[in-house]
Formats: sequence, structure tokens, C-alpha cells
Amino acid sequence: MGKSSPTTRRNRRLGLLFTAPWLIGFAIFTIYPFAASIVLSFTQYSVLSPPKFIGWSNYLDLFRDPLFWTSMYNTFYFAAFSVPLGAIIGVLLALLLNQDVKGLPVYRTVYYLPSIVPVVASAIVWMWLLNPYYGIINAILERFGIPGPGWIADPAWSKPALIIMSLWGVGNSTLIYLAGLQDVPVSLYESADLDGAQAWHKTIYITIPMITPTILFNVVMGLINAFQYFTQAYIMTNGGPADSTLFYSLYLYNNSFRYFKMGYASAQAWLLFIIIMFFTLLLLRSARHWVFYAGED
Amino acid sequence: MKLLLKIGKALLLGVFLILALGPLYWVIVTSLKGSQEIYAFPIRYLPESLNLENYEYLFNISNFGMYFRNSILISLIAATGALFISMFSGYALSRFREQKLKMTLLLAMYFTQIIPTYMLMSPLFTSFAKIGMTDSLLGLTMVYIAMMIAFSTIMAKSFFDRIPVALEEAAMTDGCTRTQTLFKVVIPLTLPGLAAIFSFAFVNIWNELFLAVMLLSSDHNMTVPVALNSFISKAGVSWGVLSAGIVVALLPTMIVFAFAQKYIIMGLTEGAVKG
Repeated sequence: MGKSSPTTRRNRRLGLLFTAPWLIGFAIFTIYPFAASIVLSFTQYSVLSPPKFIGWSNYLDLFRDPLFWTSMYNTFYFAAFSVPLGAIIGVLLALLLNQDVKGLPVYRTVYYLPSIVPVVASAIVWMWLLNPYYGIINAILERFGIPGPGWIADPAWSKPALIIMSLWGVGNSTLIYLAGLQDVPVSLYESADLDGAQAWHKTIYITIPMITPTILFNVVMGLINAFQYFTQAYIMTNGGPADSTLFYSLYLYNNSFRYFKMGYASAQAWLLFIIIMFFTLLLLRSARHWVFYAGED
Repeated sequence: MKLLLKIGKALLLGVFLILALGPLYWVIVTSLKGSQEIYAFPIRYLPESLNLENYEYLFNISNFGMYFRNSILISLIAATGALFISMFSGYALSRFREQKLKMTLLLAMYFTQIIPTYMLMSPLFTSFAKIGMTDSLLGLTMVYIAMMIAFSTIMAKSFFDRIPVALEEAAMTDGCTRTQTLFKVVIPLTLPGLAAIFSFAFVNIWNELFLAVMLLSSDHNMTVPVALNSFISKAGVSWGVLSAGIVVALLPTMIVFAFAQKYIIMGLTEGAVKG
């Protein structure tokens, strides 16, 4: 047969036709803005007047901007706590659910519920729960004789409050861990049983290593999301009090749509992209030291 | 010892259950309390009587009914659009024989998934402003379709991958064209998967705030999340009304989830574990 028979050509043409609507959308809504943001990052642009080329100034200004460093610190703080805590609780919950629990579908559904609550809704719910005066959390703390903090009204407690709140959505990764756990071959446990292994030995030496690929996936996704953490802070605190919740993406949003510094914001967006790429690659690189892939020795 | 361990596990699972449901319970309770009762001290864990004044305010004094209609309309149209487009692109991606082309297209999909939205927002907003598409529900619907396609396609591809190619070849030997085969053989077999894609897109679009805040400005165009966000700082909107708004906003998501739960979870874990 020739290099491309009529059928192959027809199939390829049909395939491209099938993907065309997506490709057009991809060009308009992803590629174009992506490319435009590179160009914009080298300009001064306030929407009202045409963009003016200013070279690397935006990038240099960023490094001299104290608020930029504040937002960077806040974001790393948030990521450093929310990602590992989310992974630990997610794995723990999945391990608990994986031991033929009665009514597993019910637990699975309920744990996942917070993940499908609209972000606006969960933000408002938590503002209400964490309200220093009328909130139920401080009311419960008081019962135990603990004076409740000001939570999102207190610069020292605002980030921890948001981290606790982020853990409410841990059910999403729990489900993925659970799917990973259910893929662990039963034969591994059977041979461990023959050797007389204890339950927790099996967990540490079989289960955890076998789900390290799933852990890697969740941690990478968690980190990407943590670096882009925006909506909750935008709704609940708008960066305050005292810039303690001014996260990277929130400051970026403010620069774009509050101060209309589109060029500056684009430079900031590109830096974020580079930071995310750097940490994602770092994690993937580290994988060979701790991630166990079945089928390898 | 064994019994103790069992009790411990049950206890932990129960605690997490309460932590997951507690906040939702508290919103429902708050939405049913009168304005006096909300601030009552000591706090009341159950409402004294069912009080619907918050819901009345929501629908009679604020325009929540209109926002709700906007949201339903946008979510239905955009989710249908995303499903329709991803059905074709997912099928093509699943069946392409040329590995190079297939990999390039798949990479483009994943690229869309990891790009921060914040990179795209300034250029998107300025170009939308230029062609007069800001503050338009049609413009927002298009953005939502574009936003959902990549993930929907990845999901669709994984569902199509499970359908044996031999089945299609048989249909085509019998004289069906490729497109006929797709509609008569493949799609009927993947209906549950397609339902999952639709539900997932619907829930995500229904919940979306950021792009809507960026692109919409007039009151009559607001979606439910935008309206709820604007309520926070609005005078006269109490915690009770906000809670009622949240309960109403949760209803469509919960209904969709109740119907498609199994498939949503299946689609969600598919990409993560296999990928």
C-alpha cells in the first residue's frame, strides 16, 4: 500500500474536521491571549490608550515592589501548609474508607459534597462560621473555655483560617486516592499475609508505596491550584487585614482590573507561570526518589 | 483490641462526616432563622420555628429569580456546547492512528489545563471590550464553552478508548460511514460517560465566579455567583438572606450530582489514576 491510501487520507481529514471546533476555540481563547500576554508584559497599557513598549521595566519594577514580595510570601505560606496537610488528610481518609466500610458510597458522596459547593457559597459559609462574634466555631470553642481568635479579621489568623477552610474540600483528592488504593493488586497483600505481616506493616510497606503515583498527581495539582489561589481571598478578605491575605493572583487581579495596569499584570502573570512550571518540574524530577511505579524494580 | 480499632475507625469516619456536612447544615439552619434569632445568644443549634422570610426577601425584593434564570440558561447552553464539541474531538483523539498528530493535540489539551487563567484574562478582556462582547451573556457562554472543552475532551477520549475498534469496523464493513458509526454505534455505548461530561461541565459553569465578574457589569446580566458576591457588601442583605441564596444556589448542583454521581466520580478518577 502507498504511504497514504485514500482511506487514510479521508480518515485524517475527518479527524481534523472533528477536532476543528476545539482547535478554533483553542486558537482564540488560549493561544491568542497567551501570546498577547507576552507582548503586553513588555508594554505600559491602561486599556484607554494604546500599549507603549517599555522593555523589561515591568519585570524590574516587580522586583522593587514591596507588595509583590508580600503577595509572594503569602502564597508560599499558603501552599506550604495547605498542600501537605491536604495530602496527609486525603490519604488518611482514603485509607480509612478502603477497609470494607459499610455504606462506603454514602461516605464517598458526603466527603465529596464540599467540592461541588460553589466557591462563592463556601466562602460565604466560612465567613459566617468564622465570624468572631456570631460564628458557630467560636461559640463551640467558648464551650471548651477557649477564647476564639478573630480569624479572617486578624492578620495573625487570616492565613491559617483560609488553610483550614481549604481542607474542607479535601474530599476531591480523597476520591482520587481511593481509586488508587483500589487498584493495588490483592495478591500483594496475600503474599504479605503468608509472611505473617501486621496490618500497619502492610500499610507502610505495600499500600503507601503503591499509591505514590497518585500522591504525586494530587500534590502537583494541589500545588498548581495553591499558587493560583484567588477566589476565596477575593471574596472574604480582599487581601486584608493589613495585606495578610494578599495572594499572588489577587494582587495580579488588582493590578489588572482595579489599577488597570495591564502590562504590569501580564509581567506578573508570566512570572507566575514560570514559578508554577519550575515547581511542577521540580516535583516531577523528585519523583524518581520516592515514587514507585509498578512493573519497575 | 480488634474491636477497639474498629470503634476508632468508625469514630474517625463519623467525625469527618460531621466536618463535611456541618457547614452545610449550618447554612440551612441559618437560612430558616428570623433576623432576631440569627444573632441570639447563646447560639441556637436548631431554629425555633421554620421562618421563610429570608427566602421571601430573596425572590421578592432582590432579583434573584432573574439571576437564577441567567445562570440556568448559560450553564445549560455552555455545557451542551462543550459536550457536543468534545464528543467529536474526543472521538477523533481516541481513534487517530498517527501517533505524532495525536500526541501534539493531546499536549495542546494538557497545556490548556495547566495555563493559569490569570495569564489570559487581560488580553481576553481587552479584545472582548474592543468587539463589544463585554457585559454580554453570549460572550460569557462562549468563554465557558472554551474553558470546559479541554477537560471534557480528555474525559470523552477515555470513554471512547474503552469501546473496541472492532465494533466500528464491523459496522463500517456493513456499509456505515464513519459519522454514521459514531452516532449509531459508539455514542449509544458511551451515553453514561457523556452524561458525566455534561454534568461535570454544568456544575463547573454554574459555580464559576471569576470570569463572570470580569466580563459582566449590568445587574440584569448577573449570574448567581456574581449576585451572591455582590450581596456580601450590600446593605440590607443579612446573613439569613445570604444563607438562603446559598441554599438556592446549591440546588441545581445537588440535583445534577444526585443523578450523575457515579459517572462524575468515574470520570474524575479515570484521568488521574490512568494518566
